[in-house]
Amino acid sequence: MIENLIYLSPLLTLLFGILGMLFFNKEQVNNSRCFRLARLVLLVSFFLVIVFYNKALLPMITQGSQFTLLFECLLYLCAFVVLYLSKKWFMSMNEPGNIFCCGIFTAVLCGCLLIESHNLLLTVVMCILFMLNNYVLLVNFRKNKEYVLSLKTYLSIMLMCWMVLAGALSVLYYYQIDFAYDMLRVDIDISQDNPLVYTAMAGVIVGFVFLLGLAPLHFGFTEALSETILPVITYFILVPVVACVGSFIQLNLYVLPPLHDKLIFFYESVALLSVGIGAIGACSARNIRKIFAYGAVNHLGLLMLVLYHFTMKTVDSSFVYLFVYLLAMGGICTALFGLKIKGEYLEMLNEFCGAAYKRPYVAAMLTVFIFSLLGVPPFLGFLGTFSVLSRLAVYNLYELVYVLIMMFVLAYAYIQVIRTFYFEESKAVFDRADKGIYTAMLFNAVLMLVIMVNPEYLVEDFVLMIETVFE
Amino acid sequence: MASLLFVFLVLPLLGCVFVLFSEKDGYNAFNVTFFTLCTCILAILKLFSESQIVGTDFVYSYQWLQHPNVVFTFGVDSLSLLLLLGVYMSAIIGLVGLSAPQRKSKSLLLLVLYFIWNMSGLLVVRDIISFYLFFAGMQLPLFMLIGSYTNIKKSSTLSLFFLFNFVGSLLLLVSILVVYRYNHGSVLLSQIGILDIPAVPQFIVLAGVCAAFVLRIPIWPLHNWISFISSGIKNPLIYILTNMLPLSGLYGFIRFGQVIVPTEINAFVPIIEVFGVLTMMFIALIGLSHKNFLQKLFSFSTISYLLFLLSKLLLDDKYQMNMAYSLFIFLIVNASLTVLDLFAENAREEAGCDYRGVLVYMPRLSKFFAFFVLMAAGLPMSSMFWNNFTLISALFRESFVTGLWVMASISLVGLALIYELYIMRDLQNKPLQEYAVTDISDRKLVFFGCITLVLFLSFFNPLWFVF
Repeated sequence: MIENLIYLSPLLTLLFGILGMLFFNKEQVNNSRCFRLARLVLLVSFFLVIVFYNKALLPMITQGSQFTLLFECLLYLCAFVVLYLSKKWFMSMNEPGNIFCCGIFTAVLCGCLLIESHNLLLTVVMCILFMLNNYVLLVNFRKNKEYVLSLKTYLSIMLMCWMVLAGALSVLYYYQIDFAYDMLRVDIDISQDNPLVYTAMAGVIVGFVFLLGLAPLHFGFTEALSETILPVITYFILVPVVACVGSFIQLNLYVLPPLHDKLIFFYESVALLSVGIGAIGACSARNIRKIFAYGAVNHLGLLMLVLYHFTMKTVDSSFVYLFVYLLAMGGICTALFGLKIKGEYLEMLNEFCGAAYKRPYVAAMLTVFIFSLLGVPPFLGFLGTFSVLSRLAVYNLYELVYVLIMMFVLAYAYIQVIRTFYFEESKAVFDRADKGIYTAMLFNAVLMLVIMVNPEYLVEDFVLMIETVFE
Repeated sequence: MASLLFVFLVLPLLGCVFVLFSEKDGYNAFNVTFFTLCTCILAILKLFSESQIVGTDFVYSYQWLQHPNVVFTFGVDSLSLLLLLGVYMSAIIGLVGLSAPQRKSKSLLLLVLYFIWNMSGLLVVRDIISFYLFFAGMQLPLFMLIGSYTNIKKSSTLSLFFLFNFVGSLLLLVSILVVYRYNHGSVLLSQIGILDIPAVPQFIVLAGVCAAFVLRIPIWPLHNWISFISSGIKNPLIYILTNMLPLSGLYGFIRFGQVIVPTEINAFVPIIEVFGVLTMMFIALIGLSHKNFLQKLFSFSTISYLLFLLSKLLLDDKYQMNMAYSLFIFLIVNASLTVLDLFAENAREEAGCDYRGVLVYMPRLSKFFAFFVLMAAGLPMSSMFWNNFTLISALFRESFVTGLWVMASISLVGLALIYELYIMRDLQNKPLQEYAVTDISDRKLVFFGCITLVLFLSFFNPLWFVF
């Protein structure tokens, strides 16, 4: 019993963190202390996760391995980055950040359980909680105090997903299928000809599609992000992605192989649609946050396009791409935190005119991250793009051509951003960026440089951890 | 000596780091850039002399990834060394042509060094993946240079420039990925011809490679981006670098052309030949009609690149060194003329004198200008004369009609350049007026004197500088 409690300590730390933040909210503790404590709680929890990496958080329904450790580490790292950057926003705007920290803790908690989950019921519940947490963040930190259409869209899609997930669980329960992954796989194998079981499992996947912001459920994601604050956008682009990809891989490898042939069409459609809609949507957007939100849809669609084969090599390649995506998107968000005029964070593309002349280092780093996302050498993005495209070249040349065309379309959207930064003139006076922003960007750049010079760390060492999922 | 090759490759990057941390609004960045380029030239000369002694190529390999097996392989031969020397000397000429405020711009010099690094990387790579890395890598610095330091602010022109180059890179990437599909890992350029690839993918590889390179060389109807860009650049260094971009496509043809199966490439040759010849004549006529020397120079450079392209596609590999000698001189002449013309133009604007007869007020500049123009027009003043003569006569032997069109285009553009020289030296019977037109300084006099000497001595021995 005590042993189990000890293994549960990372989650308990996060729970205490949530309670502490709620208490801080009541007592109106200042932001600086609140964020300092939040980071401390996260670090302690992270340390405990590493120490007990091979122990199940909740025996019987979760399992720890090197694979889960890797994704949990990424999850904590992303959450830490979000907290680090968000502190600057909340301090600058003089708004309480307790609820936001609470949301981050809840997301990490749900994410850890999602990654370690070996039970479909737990996976679905965590998905639902994750969605709810995201919605709470969106509602609490909307820019306009009115309840805007985008939030209604998000809520309606979320409720639809909940219904689909609940329906899926009901169907499986009706057929007396065990929810534990190993038993579930056997049951699915037996009843794989049953269309309802197949539909139920496809319904579970819908939850992941929504959480990842993939098309056709991307409306909630892209529209809601243009109506919220920068810390929430950073959270949305980084944190749920890690948790969902980790859990999604496990679900597909442990449970869904019997249905793999039937689900391929579904995955392929979602991935191709996301790649296309992401690229075209980014071109049509004029809000920089929306551009990158659509960019994220495109990049995650590409990731899905390679991932859905679920072989060892495609999972490895996808992980490399995911890592590169997180670094680049994290860098872009950091750069956006560093650009403000008279204390106001910018969002429309034309507000960034001439930013490169006033904040040259921030603009230069943003350019590097954008080109990295496009896979232009010699930036790290090339490694990720090469990794996934080389896999695609092996599997399907038509898809490869389609992806390259969409990359070209996306490049046009990103080029407009760079053009605005560098080649448009403006007399706007940009505020001095915080030193922490420069530090974060420098750290990111150094990390990218090290991995680019010696990608073995990423491609060999991390991938060995990834491959434990196949054992 | 492989380590020397490594040092040579790292030097421009090291220069970038020093430029990045140099003082603001000073000449440190300029001095670092100048020193880096000079050091690189010394390294090239050393590599040249060592390769003459050893008689073999130097190869340097770096294992980047194990799974998939990606090994970056670099190596040099006389062809790549000559082109490298041409590129670095052109860059130094461009650097000399910068005005005082331009010399203080750190970001300009940083991007220039970065572009040069990509260009030199491209000229020394031996495997297909690193070829792509440098081929695609050079578009970013040039895009930033053109957007930030020229008058081209029109978004469509800049976007066109980037997207054209981006498409080229994507096409090359497709080819590389198809090769990768059949051979998991790095492939040396020299091995592509012997890979066991089915006919259709082989065709895709070839089409992708050819299209990627053609997009960099201004062949009609894909020439718009470079002509739009060239017409808006007033910075000599950026103009020189922009006009170096087609060299990457041409070099791609030279390297890939050596290894691609002849029967496969034959399908593309007549198409490129027809379009190439038509473009040459079209550009020559445009050059003749323009009243701006830089436009005529752009016509000259385009026609020269197309001459080299046709020579590569139609002639044997035994003419390869003729091309290399000619390209080396061409790069230097093109750069020198750009710098001298922009200098004359700025001096004329400052003094407020007419364009016609402007060179009369600048006797020092006038002499060099005339020398380079006559050399570009095809007079026997450097090894470019011998080598172009050899290439054109071989083209005549290969196809009389093509040779005729090529000869006509080259003659037209030569005439256009000489006519412009005549205009710039002619006062049209007006009396000599008192204009305070600044002539080139003593330093520049010595510098261009050295350049002239290098070119003139090449008339007797193209590799006279190799001991």
